[in-house]
Amino acid sequence: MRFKKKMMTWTVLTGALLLLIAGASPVLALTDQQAKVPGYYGMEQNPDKFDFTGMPMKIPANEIERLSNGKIKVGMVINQKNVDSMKNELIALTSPGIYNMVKKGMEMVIADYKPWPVPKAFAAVTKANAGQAVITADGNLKTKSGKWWNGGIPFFTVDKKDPQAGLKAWYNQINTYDGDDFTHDWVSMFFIGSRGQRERTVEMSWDRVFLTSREMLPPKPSYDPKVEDIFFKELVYVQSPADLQGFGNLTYRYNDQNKSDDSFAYIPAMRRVRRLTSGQRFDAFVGCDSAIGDFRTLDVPLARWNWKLIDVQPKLTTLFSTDYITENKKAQRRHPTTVGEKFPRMNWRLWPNVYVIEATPKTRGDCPVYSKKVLWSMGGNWKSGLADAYDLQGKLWKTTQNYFYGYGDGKVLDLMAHYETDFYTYDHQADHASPWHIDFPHRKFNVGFTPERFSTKYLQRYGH
Amino acid sequence: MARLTLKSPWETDNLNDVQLELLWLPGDFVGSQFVGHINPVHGSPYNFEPDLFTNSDDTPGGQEWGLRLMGKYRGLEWSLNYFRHYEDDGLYQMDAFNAPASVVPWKPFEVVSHTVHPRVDSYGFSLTYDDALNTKAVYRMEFLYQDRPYEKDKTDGSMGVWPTDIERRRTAKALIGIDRPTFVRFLNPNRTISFGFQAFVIQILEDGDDIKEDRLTLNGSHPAETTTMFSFSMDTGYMQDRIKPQMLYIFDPGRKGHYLQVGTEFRITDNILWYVGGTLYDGKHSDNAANDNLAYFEWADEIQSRITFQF
Repeated sequence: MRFKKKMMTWTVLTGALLLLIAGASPVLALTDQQAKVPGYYGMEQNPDKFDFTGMPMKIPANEIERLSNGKIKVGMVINQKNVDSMKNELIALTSPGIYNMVKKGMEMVIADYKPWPVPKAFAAVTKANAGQAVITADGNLKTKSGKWWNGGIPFFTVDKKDPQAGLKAWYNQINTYDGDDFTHDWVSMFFIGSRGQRERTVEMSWDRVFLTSREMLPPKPSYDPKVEDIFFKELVYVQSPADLQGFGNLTYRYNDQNKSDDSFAYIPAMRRVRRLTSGQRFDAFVGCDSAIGDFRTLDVPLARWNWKLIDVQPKLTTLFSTDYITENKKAQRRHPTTVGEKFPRMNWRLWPNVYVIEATPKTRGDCPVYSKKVLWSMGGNWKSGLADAYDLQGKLWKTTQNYFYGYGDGKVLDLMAHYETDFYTYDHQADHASPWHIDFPHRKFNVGFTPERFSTKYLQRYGH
Repeated sequence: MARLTLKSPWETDNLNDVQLELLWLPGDFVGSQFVGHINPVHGSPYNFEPDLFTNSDDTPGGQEWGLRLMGKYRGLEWSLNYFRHYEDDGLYQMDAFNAPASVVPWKPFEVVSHTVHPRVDSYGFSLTYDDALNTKAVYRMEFLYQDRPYEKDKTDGSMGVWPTDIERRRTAKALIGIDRPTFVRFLNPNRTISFGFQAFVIQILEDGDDIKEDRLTLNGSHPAETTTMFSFSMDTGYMQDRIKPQMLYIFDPGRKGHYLQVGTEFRITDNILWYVGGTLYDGKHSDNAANDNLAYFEWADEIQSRITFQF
């Protein structure tokens, strides 16, 4: 009898141990929420490394209530059920596109304001170059001495009444802090159907080196004084699916904003590099809802568009959009969504002075698909979080967003690198979405790339 | 294949990416397999259809190598190329006719042949220009000079009029191409239709006038002193590229030949792709092989279907 009891005890103990071991294994597959590393942690722990010029350190918690006639509060979730009670206030604080997305099932978690600083080294260059920026007659950004712009934010203070205010705010956006180079080893692009189901996945890597406007790494401010026409070089490789694997794209972006990119592709089936035309920037990128011209909400030669400042307003933005992210390389990336995977369920925080710009192409050839884009440049950090695009009939077509996580913690993730959780486009007319997830542990800023790595030679080498 | 690229460290705003590329295919030196023409052969090589066609491939085992100097001057991409290689298409050498004494259904008329891949020295250059802002098109030009091998007939008499030997003729090839992705909003508001246009010329520079006499043949169209062809292609994508229609048309004015291929690829899931398409050949047929159509046929049509499962 005693023997049987001992056997049972050992059986139960062994079983419990096995269950514990089995239960421990999911620890290696933490979700974003489980990882619990907030995107402002590193910045708060290292305030001496960041510059907060141009933004308040705090905004009263009831400021959103004041701006929304008491209808929107910190801590609340705006969803399909309550959105109609605050329609006008929400559109004023976001955009018609965001209102429509909430009507279709998106949820917005309203959170506290947090300042988004820049590294002190970058801010020092902005301050050193203050007052040097001019916009030339042909719409280019140069220094007063006639050279291409050489680093930092060119127009840190933009006067609303300045007829060039829209263009200046957007020049600030394209010169916002992005490191002197960066690498993303893994970017996943998803095609999400109207029911929220994942239809297709394309995985790729994305690297860039800036040849001019370098603020962080030597050589500064340009890589080579003989090659100052090029703003940056960029390489994108597709990792999967198999029919696209090995496809690579090399882009040269010029400082001259009357000039389009140089674009080269490595085509694995031909084992050759082919020149591509970069003239059609609004062709759907490998069929998804975003085009190359939609990157960073609008990515075009600036001199080919008109930039009209509509207003400078407080807006709800997607800075520090997730409470926590994983900084564990083995962790899964799962951030919250609604309607299947169609809409990100993220934090929205007030930003006090968003420059709202209406951008229109100068000719139909510069953009054959949109009549206009209404986009944001956030005063102080000069990032763009949102753009609504309108079709040629003037109907709302697409909303493109950047969801920003924050800076790294200085341990696993680079303290001087900021991170985006999603680049996201929603097609209102097709009810279809294309979120791009960026895997943080595989992203780095200021790696020390050389321009030689961004050449047709390397395009061939890394193609499969 | 081994490739060594030496990139010039010297760059200016106008001259970028100058590099010398050395290519080496070791052949039997390391036991690598020669890969000839990757496309299937259409029709029989001698422009007639035997009941039984038995062909073997003589795989060359020698080394192949090449040099390419390339770079970019302002908007113009350029390259200079030399490649010492084997003819990919291959040439057919007749070995025997095994004809039955009388027409008996169960005794087929058999042609026995083998394919050889002679050595070729190719010299070429290419120029590419992207006019992204104005015409939004890429313009390409390629030129190639080769001592190209052709089949020669009546050499030993043992096979009657059929080719049994090879001779070389200096040949020049030129290509002009224009690629122009264009939004045609009433057809596809989301995605460009990628239009491609190419013109090819193949000119035999020596003894071109006896080509017909020699009844020289190649895979595809027959050689002539001057061969000119035009191609036009279109492709686009619908429903986030789940449906990708494509079209290719080739016109050979010398022989009044037409080739049309129309197909659509359906991405059923992330893993399953299905292609279905059709091909039409049309053209003039004559007794003179050199005047025949692109692939010999006066008229032919085919349908193709392919299902791909990818991991």
